[in-house]
Amino acid sequence: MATLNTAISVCLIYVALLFLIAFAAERTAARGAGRWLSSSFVYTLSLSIYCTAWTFYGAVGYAARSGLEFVTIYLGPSLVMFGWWWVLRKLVRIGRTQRVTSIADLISARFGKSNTLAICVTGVAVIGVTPYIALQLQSVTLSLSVFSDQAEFDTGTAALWTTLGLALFTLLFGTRSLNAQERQHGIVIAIAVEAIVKLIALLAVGVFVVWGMAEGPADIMARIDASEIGAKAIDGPRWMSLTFVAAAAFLCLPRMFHVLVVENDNDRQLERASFLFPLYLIAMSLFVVPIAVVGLEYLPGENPDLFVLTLPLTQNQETLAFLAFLGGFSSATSMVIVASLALATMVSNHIVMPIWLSSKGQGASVSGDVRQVVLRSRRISIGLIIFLGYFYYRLSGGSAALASIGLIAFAGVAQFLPALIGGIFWRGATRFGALSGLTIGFLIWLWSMFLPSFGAGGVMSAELLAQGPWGLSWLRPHALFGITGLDPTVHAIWWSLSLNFFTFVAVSMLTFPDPLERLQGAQIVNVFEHSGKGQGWTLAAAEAEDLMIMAQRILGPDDAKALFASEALRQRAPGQMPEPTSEFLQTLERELAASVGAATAHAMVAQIAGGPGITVKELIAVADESAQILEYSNQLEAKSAELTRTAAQLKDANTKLTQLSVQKDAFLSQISHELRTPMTSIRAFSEILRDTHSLEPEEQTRFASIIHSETIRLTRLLDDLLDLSVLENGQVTLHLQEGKLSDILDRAEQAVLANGSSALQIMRAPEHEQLHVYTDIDRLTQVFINIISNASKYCSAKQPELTISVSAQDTALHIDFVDNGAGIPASERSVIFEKFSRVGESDGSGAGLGLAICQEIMQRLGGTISYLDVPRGTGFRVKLNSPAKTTLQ
Amino acid sequence: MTDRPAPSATLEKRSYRKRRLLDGLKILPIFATFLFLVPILGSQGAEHRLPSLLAYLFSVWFGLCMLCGVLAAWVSEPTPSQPPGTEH
Repeated sequence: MATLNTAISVCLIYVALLFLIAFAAERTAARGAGRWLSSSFVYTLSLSIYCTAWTFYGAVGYAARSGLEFVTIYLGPSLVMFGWWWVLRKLVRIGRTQRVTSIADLISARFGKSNTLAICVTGVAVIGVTPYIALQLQSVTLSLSVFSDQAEFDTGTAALWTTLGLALFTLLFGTRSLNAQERQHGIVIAIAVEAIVKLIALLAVGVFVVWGMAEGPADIMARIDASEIGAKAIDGPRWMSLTFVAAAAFLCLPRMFHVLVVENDNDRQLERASFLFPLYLIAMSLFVVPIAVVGLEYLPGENPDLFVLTLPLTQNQETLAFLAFLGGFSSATSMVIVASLALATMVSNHIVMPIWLSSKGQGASVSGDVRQVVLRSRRISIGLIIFLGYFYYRLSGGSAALASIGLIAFAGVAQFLPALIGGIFWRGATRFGALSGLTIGFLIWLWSMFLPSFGAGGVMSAELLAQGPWGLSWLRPHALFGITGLDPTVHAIWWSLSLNFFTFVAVSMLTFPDPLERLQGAQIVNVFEHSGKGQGWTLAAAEAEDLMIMAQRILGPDDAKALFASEALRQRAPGQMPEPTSEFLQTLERELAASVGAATAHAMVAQIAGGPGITVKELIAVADESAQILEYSNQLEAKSAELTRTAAQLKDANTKLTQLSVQKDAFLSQISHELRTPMTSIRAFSEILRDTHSLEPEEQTRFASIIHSETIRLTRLLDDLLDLSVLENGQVTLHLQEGKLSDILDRAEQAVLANGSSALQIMRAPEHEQLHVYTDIDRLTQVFINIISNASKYCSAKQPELTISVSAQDTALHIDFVDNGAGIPASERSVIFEKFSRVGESDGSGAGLGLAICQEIMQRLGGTISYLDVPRGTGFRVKLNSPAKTTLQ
Repeated sequence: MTDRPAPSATLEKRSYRKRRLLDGLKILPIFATFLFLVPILGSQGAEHRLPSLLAYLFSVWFGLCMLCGVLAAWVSEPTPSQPPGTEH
């Protein structure tokens, strides 16, 4: 019991240490230091989550049962790494340009951002990987049981506590950032440390076995030769199938895809890892056979899966045993953490979020912060997946040999391979092809590998296994299509993957992809030729504000603002909302995709921007050979369109100038006409005075006074013109002061009626005029004089009357002038405020500038003058804004 | 293609060598597959005992790692006359 307690304490201290390291790494990364965090070595070490507890403990057991065959599990991934130039280089490039978050996301993005496909991939991944997580729980519990008194050890409780601990660690470090593309330094560094721990542990046990228990390499070779596994022949078909399926799983396992592609920063990491990771695998497998052989010698009949632990214990090497235990624990924890993280990203992005969004019924225009929803759904998914693993472990009873569950998971996720590889290399691959291939492969895997794994009498009865369903012998799970005698694993891998592949190709050839699918296909297959371009968006419907609101909800206010600001800067409009151009929408969609996956991001942007438009430019990028020529001509066309636009703008400007010139000519001719009339009479009368010598004195006086009055009129006209031009040019200086409205009206009344020549009666209500205004008193008086004198001059009534009424509104002061005359005909009301406009037959004493000047003045004073439509007579309304504290400019 | 001055013979040779090394890198996985499949060729006969197979497999494996490392390092090393991405 004491040793069990020690084992648990060692575990807890180790986990606490990992916490500290992860925290320190996150702090370092947050400070911007620690470039080593994204070095090739850390990347290589993070790939080591491929080596789970299955490979740590199980490889020895596997070797003890089947000899050299265990090594195929490592040869497959080595082949993939050696061939990095072909597949991985392309995958990581696609991952970076398309901002891929998971393998489901990549397959969905490739096949037209189809969410159906993403859901299928996610479903298969969950079903395939859950047993694998169960396997890790089983191996941790099993290794704990080694340290305990077998009778008292409760595997259920131990598994439950392990599950809870793993879930907690993953939740704490895996969901700190929403952006799955962001490197999660805490987790990565914890995994790298665990990679080193498990390597050292296995090497230490190996060294101890070779040099401690045996007498060096030569002795070990002799013992291997003599042992029962030394004579085991290699099964060719199994060797090839297992190597192949391990290679496929290395690419397709969600957790491997996560560390290989999603967490990848640059090609350099991959380039180094291409030989460093196979070296790591060599080190991990170097001592497997020696440990197995020595284990079989010393511990015949014991569980070979635990030789790594039990061998040191037989020699009373407790420290070494604890180290080995830590190695196994590391393998299990790192695998569970990354696998649940990768699966949770898929579940949350492709299942939870779409359901949540559609349940809201508003698509992208939901209210509130979506980030919290995404994070919460990801956390719940992590918990769910880890506990699903736990329940699988309890259900399966934890009895099956470790290796068989691992292989089943490998074959399950390998079903993604045709869609993945076909998708990135073959433009003709379609969504239906991928869907049907995956479905067929999955069903065969389920039927011939997964369900039979529960054993005869488990899910499938012994009779079903032997006879097939309803006696259909060609459907026997281990002898499909009547082909018997194959190894069950080879049989399942062979049939599921080959039929998956052929269905995928055949259906792809028969179906037709939609435009988005074709475009995405071209983008992804030709990622090295034109990376960085996605499908475009039609711009009309997208409003920058809507996009901003949506982006804030997913990316958070700060990141969204930064994104929009940088785009505005790029569009050379710093400080403003950027134009929602096609490029910007693509960038935004990609940013969102890094948080919620391609399909959801696409749907969200589509909500706001309307349907995706594929521009001519992008279609051209799809075409291959003729693309260059076409693009060139397209650019020419764009340039010519731009020239046409410029020409049209110039034409507009020219029309405006012509209109202005016409206006100026009309004004000049009117001015000359106005000036000419008084000048003509002045000239005529002065000529009479000069040339006629026999004029009566009264006539002389009369002519001189005509000349005089015409001069006055001329002066007044020039004054008015000057006044108007000053007002129009805005050069007028206002002398703002406070005054009583009644005083101003008094002054105006006196000015008009002073000489007593007018018969106009003015009706006023002084009790309403006791208001103070803050304005240019003289100018306002000028306006009032003008209106009153107009009434005095033009009112046609026998007994002309002018009623001045004042009313104070909320924000304005109305002063209405209404006379009892004939009024102004409706047709002329629109022009009375124009320059030189006179109403009807006039006596010619006015130049028609008075009301134009009034209007200009009122504009300067921040008010208006307008014609007031009254039942009888002519009315004008002068409106001053905010009477009490008028801020007239 | 452009009016770039004709590269000297040594540079030509280097870029040629580099392209051939890239070919090597591309063919490497096929070569590795072949080597990894060798153990099953003689699996029927009894002359292939496990120790010799182990020695073969691990040395081939290690050799491939070294080869891959050397090729990758050479290929990624920039050559003055040939900017990356123009190997065809």
